[in-house]
Amino acid sequence: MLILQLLLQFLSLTAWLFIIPFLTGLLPARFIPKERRTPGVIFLAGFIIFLAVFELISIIVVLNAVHGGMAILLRWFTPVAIALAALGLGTEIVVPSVLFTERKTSRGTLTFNNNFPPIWQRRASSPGFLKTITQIPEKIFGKNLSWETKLVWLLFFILLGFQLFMALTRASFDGDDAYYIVQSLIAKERGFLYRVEPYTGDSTVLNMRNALAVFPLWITMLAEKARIHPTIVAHSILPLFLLPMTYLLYFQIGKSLLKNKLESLPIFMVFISLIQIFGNVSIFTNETFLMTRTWQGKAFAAGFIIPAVLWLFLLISEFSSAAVYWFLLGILIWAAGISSSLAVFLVLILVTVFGFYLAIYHRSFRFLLKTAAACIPGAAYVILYLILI
Amino acid sequence: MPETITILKNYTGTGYLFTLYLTSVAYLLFTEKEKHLRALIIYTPLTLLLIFLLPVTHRLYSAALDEETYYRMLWLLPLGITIAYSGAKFLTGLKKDSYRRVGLCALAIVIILAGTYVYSSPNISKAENLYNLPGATVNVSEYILNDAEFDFIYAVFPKEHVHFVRQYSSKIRLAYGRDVLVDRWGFFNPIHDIMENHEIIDIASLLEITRPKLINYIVIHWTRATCDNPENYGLILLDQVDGLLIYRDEIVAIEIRETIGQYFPKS
Repeated sequence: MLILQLLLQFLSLTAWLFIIPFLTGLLPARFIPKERRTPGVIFLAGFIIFLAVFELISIIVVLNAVHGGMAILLRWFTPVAIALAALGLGTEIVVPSVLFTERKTSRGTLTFNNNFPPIWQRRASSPGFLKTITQIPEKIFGKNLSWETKLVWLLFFILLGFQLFMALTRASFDGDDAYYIVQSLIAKERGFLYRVEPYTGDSTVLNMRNALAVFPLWITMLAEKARIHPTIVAHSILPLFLLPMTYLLYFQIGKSLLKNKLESLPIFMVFISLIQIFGNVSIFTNETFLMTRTWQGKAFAAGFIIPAVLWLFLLISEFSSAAVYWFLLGILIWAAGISSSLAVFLVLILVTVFGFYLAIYHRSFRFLLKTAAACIPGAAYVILYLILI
Repeated sequence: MPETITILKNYTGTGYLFTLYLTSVAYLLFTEKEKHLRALIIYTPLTLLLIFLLPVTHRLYSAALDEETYYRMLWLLPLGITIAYSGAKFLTGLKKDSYRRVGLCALAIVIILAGTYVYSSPNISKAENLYNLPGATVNVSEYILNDAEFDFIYAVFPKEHVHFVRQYSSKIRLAYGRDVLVDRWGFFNPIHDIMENHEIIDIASLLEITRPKLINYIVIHWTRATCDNPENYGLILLDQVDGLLIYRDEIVAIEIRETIGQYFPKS
């Protein structure tokens, strides 16, 4: 019975942390340039959209529901998330763009870009799927790796494994948990969203300063889906997901930075992981936040959201015609609000400076306009915040 | 010295890792040919650092947002990414494999020596359970949850447990929370004062405040002295769990049963 329960909890977390975001990512995937249309990019894109949708629905519920807010939030978010994932999967099946991008036929190799047949023109068998799956490791790490490169990759995975082991076996004390984790727990046990004083349990008015940063409610959503105590989800489960996902983001950043020298990618990843482990030069650094408060929204902002802005700007610079990255940037700025309201302000500053310099680099006024357009969701968040506090 | 410099110093700790970052930026300034990369990882961060250091930015930020979080502007500097990228780029530029191998080890050692090992932090300890909460807090909270007749639990805990109790169960309300424990926030709570600021806990004074608030559980560490036996005042010692004495205030328990208990059925 216990094994069955653990299995169901594992499957539920897998669905809500990996499968649904990934399938959601299939929606924008077809618009991502083919060179970057990898499972990692699709997952990250899907995860950003997933968070943004959660943020939007949560804010509406938090501001309006006095009682039973968590139940209402789940009632609205669950079908929307599943619908987005189903839409992503459905469009992928009907008009493939990812899984069946290449297939050998008697007439040569067919790809999505040169009219791989949609479902109504396709035969029942699709050998390209298996081929694509078996090619994934090669696509991720590159072809014909030297033993040295493999060794450095191994070193990186040992460092990552060490961090995950420490995340699971070590407890990190942080006073802010008494606020954020308890908000998650109140939402699960009592259904109130930001309407109870977390330190003592007294009733209070809606806390506007934090009400728009709904990362604790995202933890509660996972806890509800998997039927696990939110504190366990936050402290013991989320780091096992968030840390690898952060490294997936750094991997993508490294790929963009080192695009002509991909054999150096494992070196980049080893250095990044060492800096995470040894970045605790003060209690304030983003490395310290990510490693010691992984489950808090502000750590998510420091470790994921802010680097993700750089990642998207690297892609925008690389593929300036791909509108999908501007779309994702706009969504990301909005999703930054899930981690903390301050994150949106910080990200807007970062985007403005990035946009300014890249506009000079591209010598394009339109670039500035696109940057401004991407800031609209973030600006809406800021206006909402200023109205509410 | 402008306050922003002090904030930067506090943020960068020993300053070695930040020096390594500035060295990496300088290296890229001379070697990076891609203009868009120069814009993204050299010019933008340097501009942001300059903006951060301006006292006027600090003043504006503090007025509009929160002075305590000003250091978070430094999160916008891609310190780790820049060091890792410049390191990888430098090693790739080396012609001999043997140089690359030695260079990788040397740069890794530099990072290790320049940084501070996160797991040596005094705030990190071996996890006692999957909640990552002190076992004693979990056990005492669980005891009280099982003992309570209604879902009305209002408790006083020693300050060492205040951060954790409600992370285990939000059904337990606390007489004082974390906000009282943070000195710079300047909150005063008379129950906290009686419990923590005196060598001997004055039970009579404590109950004078807790009873009107219907606080029905009082937890005291067994080493703490009380001016009289708490049981003489209507408290019942339920048990000692992990060195914590769990008292139920029977007078309050009866009052809850006769008045508001019906509105808090046990779930």
